[in-house]
Order: sequence, then C-alpha cells, then structure tokens
Amino acid sequence: MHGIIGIAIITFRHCVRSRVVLLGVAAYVAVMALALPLTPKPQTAETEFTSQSGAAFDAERASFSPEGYRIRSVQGTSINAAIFLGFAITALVAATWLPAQIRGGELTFVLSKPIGRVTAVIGSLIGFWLVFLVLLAIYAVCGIGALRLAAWTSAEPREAARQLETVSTGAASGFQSSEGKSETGYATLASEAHRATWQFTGLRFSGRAPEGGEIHCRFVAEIAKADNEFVTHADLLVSLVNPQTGSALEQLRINNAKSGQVVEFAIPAQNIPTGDFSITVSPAINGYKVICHKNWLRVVTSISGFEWSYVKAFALAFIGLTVFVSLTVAGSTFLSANVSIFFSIGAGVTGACIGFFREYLQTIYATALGATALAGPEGRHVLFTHLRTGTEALGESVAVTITQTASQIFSSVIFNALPDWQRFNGADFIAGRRDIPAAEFGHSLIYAAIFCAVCIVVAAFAFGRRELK
Amino acid sequence: MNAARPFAIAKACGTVIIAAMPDYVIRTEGLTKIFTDFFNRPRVVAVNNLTLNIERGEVFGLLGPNGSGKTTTIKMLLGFLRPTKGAAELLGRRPGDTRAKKLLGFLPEESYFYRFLTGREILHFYGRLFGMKRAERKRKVDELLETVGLKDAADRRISEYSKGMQRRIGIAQALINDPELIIMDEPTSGLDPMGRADVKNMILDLKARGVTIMLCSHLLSEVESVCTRVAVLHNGRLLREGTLKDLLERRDRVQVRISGAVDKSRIADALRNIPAKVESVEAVTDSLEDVFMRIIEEERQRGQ
Repeated sequence: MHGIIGIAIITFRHCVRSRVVLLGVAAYVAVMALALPLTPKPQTAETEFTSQSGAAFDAERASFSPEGYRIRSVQGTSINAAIFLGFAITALVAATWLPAQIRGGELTFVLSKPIGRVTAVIGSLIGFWLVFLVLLAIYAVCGIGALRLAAWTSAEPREAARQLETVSTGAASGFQSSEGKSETGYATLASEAHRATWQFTGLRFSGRAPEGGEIHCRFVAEIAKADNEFVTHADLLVSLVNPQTGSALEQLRINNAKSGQVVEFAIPAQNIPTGDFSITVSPAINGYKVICHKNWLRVVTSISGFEWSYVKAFALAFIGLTVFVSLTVAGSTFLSANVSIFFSIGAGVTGACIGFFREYLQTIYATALGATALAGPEGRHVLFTHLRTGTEALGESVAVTITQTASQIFSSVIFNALPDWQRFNGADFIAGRRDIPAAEFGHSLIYAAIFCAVCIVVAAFAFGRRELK
Repeated sequence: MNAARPFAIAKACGTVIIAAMPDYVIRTEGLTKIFTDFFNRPRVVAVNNLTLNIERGEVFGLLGPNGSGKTTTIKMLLGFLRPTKGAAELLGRRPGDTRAKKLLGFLPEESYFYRFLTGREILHFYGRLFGMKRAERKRKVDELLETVGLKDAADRRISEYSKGMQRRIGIAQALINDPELIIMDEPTSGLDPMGRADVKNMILDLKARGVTIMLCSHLLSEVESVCTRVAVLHNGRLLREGTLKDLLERRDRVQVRISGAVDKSRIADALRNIPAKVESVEAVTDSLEDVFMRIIEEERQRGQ
C-alpha cells in the first residue's frame, strides 16, 4: 500500500508541475472567459436545428428566453470544455508517463525498490485520478462562477417575479388542430395557417422566480415536403399562448427542424401565465406536411436551480475520465511514448464516435431489428427509424424484437469493449434542465469500475512482461 | 525453469547440503541474454552463459569494457530483463521479488531521479517505498544527507544539482534501507577526488559491517583497493574470475626484498650466498589494470 501511495503522490506532483496541466487550467479559464461575451444573446427567439440523424441527445436546445439560452450555452460550453481538456491532458500526460519513465530510467530506479510493477501501474492510475478530481473541481468552481456571471449580466428586471411552485409535467391535458383533424390524437398541418395546440394546466406560482427558472419541453414531429417526401426538414413556429385571451405571449422559430427528432425548448417561469397555458406548433412556410401527435409535446421537467445538477455533471465527467485514464495508462504499459499518445487519441475519438455510430446502426437497422411503426393517420409517411429515438426520449417506447445473431452479439461486445464517452457527458441533462438520475450515476460507476479493473489486469499482464531496457 | 533447477535441487536435498553450501547472495547459472529484433531474430548476445556466485560479505568487482554485458547482467538480476536462458537468484529469491528487493540497495550508472523533487524529498520518497514510518524516515534521511555531505543542499531541487551531487544523493538512496546487498554501477562516476575517496571509505566501512557489495567500475585502481574478488566480462562471456590475489599474482616471477647496502650486481650471488637477511620472497604482482588489459588483449587476439 505504501508503494501505491508513494507512486500516486509522485504522479500527482508530476502532473501539478506539468505545463500541460497548468495550460489545461488556463485554457479552461480562457474558454469560459470567451464563452461569456461570445455566447449569442438572441434578440429574437430563433434557433437553428442542426442535429445529426437519429440522435436525440444532440438536438439543438431552443429557448423563449435569451437569459436561459445564454445560461445553457455557458453550461454546455463549460462541461464540454472540461471533458475535452480532460481528454487532451490525459493523452498528453498520462499516455507518456510510464514510457517516458522507462526511457528516462526513473522507473528502473523505482522498481529496484520493493514494489511490483502492478503497484507502479495502480499508483500511477490513482495519481492521475486524483489530478482529475482536483482539476474538475477547479473547472466546476470556474464554471459556476461563469454561470453566476452569465445570470447576473443577463438578468432583466422583473416586475412580477414569481416562484414556480408546482408544474404538471407530462402530456398535455388537451390537444386540438386548427384543421380539426385531431382524430386518434394526430394533427396533420399542411400550411402556415394550420396549427396544433397542446393545452397544459396545473401551474401554480408564488413569491420570486429564481434566475434562469424555467420549465422544459420536448417536441417531435414528422415532417415531409409535400412534393418531395425525401425532404424531411422544415422551419417551425412554436408559440406560447394564453388560452384565456388566445394571444401569443412568446414565439420561437425553429429553423431546419428535422423529422422524427427531438427539439427541446424552455419557457422562462415568469413568462408563463398563472394557471393554464397552451403551446402551438405550425409550419413556418407552406408546402410541408407536419404531423403532430398529442403525446409528442411534453413538459418534461422544471428546475429552478442549476448548480447541484451541474456539479453532478462534472462528477459524471470525472467517472468518464477515470475510464479514459485507465485505458490510456493500460495502453502505455506496452507502447512507446509517441505511439501511446496516438493510442490515447484514437481511443478518445473512437469513444466519442461510438455513441453516434451505435445510434446510427440502431436507426438504420430498425426495420431489420423489428421496430414496429407507430400507429398514425392514413397515408402518413412513416419515419419510425428516426422516430424511434425521438419517441423514446418522449417517454414512449417502440416495440423492438431483436434476434441475437452472431454479428449482433459481436457488435454488442464491441460496443461494450469500446467505451462510449457520451455515457459520461452530462451536458445534455444540464441543457435539458433535467437532474442526472441516480441510476445513470450507478450505471456509469459500475461500468467504470469494471472497465478500470479490466484495464488494470491488461496493464499488469503487459507491463509484467515488458523488458525495461 | 531450465537452469533454476540446480538451486531447487540443492534446496530439496535438505539441511545437510544447504549447511555445507556457502551463503550466496547472488547466483547465476548459465545466464544468457540475447536481444532480438522486431521479428524475434537474434541481434546481440549481451550475456553469454554467465555463472557467478557471490558470497555474503564479499565486495565483488564486475569488470569489463563497454558493452561487455555488466549492466545487462545487473538488469537481469533486478528483474528488469528476462534471461533468454539460464537462471539467477538474488538473496535466495527470483529476480524482481519484492522480498529480495527489500534488502537491496541499487545505484545505477546514471542518476535517474524525478527532477522536480528536492534531495530530501527524493530520499523520503524512496524511504516511503520501503514502508518506513515518517519519524524513522526523517531520522534516516537526515543521517544520510549528513553522510553524503548534502545537508546544506538538501532542499534544493535535483535539477539544480551538479552531476557529483546527484551521484551523492544516489548513494544515499541506495543506503536508505540499510541493505544487505548493494549493487553499484560506477559509483564514483562524476565525483571529484575527495568524493571518490569518500565513496571508497564508505565501501570499506560497509564491507567491515558485513554488507555484500557488487561493484561495477572502470576505475580499476578503485576496484583493486576495495574488492575481494573480481570477474572479468568481455562480449558477454566470463573470461576470468577469482580473488584479487589469484588474479594479480604472477606465477612465473618471484620478488625478493632485501634491506641493507648491497651491491646490485651481487644480488644473484647473494641469493646463493646470503650476506644479508632476506626479508621476503614474494611473487611479483601486476596492477589490476595491467591484468585487465592483458586479459582483454589476449581475448581480442584470440578473436582475430
């Protein structure tokens, strides 16, 4: 144990003194400093929908509130910057630590003392984990500071600030279409004049609304150009409507919304009228067919504060970094310093792509996997392969029967052997104003523990056989 | 497996044989190391069938020109390299065994330290690796810093140390655990004459305390003055091994030392008809350097 502690302390001190780590801190501060003034403060509530095929998690977040939009942008920037910098530091520092010591001779000195090679590997790993614990703590503190600054600089005077007490999350209590075609819960919007309306009830307000307090909605629609069904994206208008007066309180234009993918948007608490409210969706231009379902617009949650879930996102990032560090150090036990850096970068890029790749495979092979198309109005263009992820995100599930063939078992093994870094990215939860569930944490922790254990076994085997020339 | 068997058999034979055997701290049996290329084709035979036995309490000199296989042998003894053939034992255990390393002090040819640490920190670090308690560590570190003359520079970073100072801190770390066996590779490299004298005295002091020392050095006069036994390696092969007396003594010449005013021309007669007291009649000895050069030269000529 004393050997592990000794090596861990040396590794930690090496990193603390390393220019790369210090530059990592400086780079993060610089990113946050730039994020504040450069984050767009939309004068008009408008957003571009730029997500990739089939991926619910990278849907562009739209907001009726410039303040909320800015805060979410800063949050997303800070968490993604922390993860990216963590990975970069790992690739530059952790990947070279053992090979450089072998080449430099420090390790031969250390291993002439009564410690085993496995001890050296585990000690190094613990040292790096400590480094990233401290580093992410610094990042989190800087991030919270930046968020406070963003909220403070964005805050507009509110005449009637209120506290959002309760909100009925879930599906709308009522749904109708201006066309009147709302049978089986669907509405088909064929022109700008058509609109689908969701009614929500059960909101209560009192006291003062916290900064950035808002409720969060998700919306999905099937979209096809009337004369070309292969064009499946269009501009949509989303409006917050006072049902008593029928007037639009806020309006959000979502450019280039894609069929079957989730659009997330937030409504500032102070903009919602006490009591009931409605949200309407309509095509922004003619010539498109937009199919909406009663359950495809939901209030998913409301969060008045953000720091705690924000800290949790950093903790999730830390768990991810422990996995990445373990993988990198395991690679460095049998590779030279330069090759080890490439191995680490390769693992990082692969892990970043694997989530998209898995999602892509699931969507393109949805038919082969037996995905059942959702029931809908006659003649609709079924886009269940895209909708699969979208409806799951909305709380619905698409029946999927999977027959495990050899190739599917192989791909399953590959997907689990190659870590998916998206699993550890809490930025989407934060951007979605959702708390990171304990199950998500538990699952990530178990995954990380198993992965790290496997890495240590591989490292012990490889390093035990390596000749220290 | 292979050549480790003789040791195993000796142990299995019971107490009678073990009691009769000398107490070896280092044993190698047919130790061979062949470095290979990427395709596992033999490239260099670094150590070739080396059999060595070093007894407890000896100061053993391992000599040889550059590339003779001294450092490779040490690396195999410490478990850094795996032998291609043969076996080695360090303090009765296989190379790399942490229980053996607990009793070992090692000073490599170069000082490989974490350069961001101070001299005191580096000694504390190595002390920690031996599981020494903080108070014990502090006492030992202070004592060693005093011994190697680095007390005043103890809190300076290693990166600010001269080569000689780094060597001194290297010697200190090799002694931090009061080892039973010390392997020193060029211990006086980079030291000034005073430092070399200090190291020599320190080795003699350790020898007096019964510590076994394996010394690799190019400074043959140094080896001659402290070693009890030496081995000469060349191209990985053991050319000669024995006590200093055995190696240096010339069997073909005798040295007669006479006191008193004697005409040199009559020395021969004097030995027949001795007019003065003959104090000693001894074999002529060469210096170790002469012997070393002769052995290597003979080997080279044989090679040609």
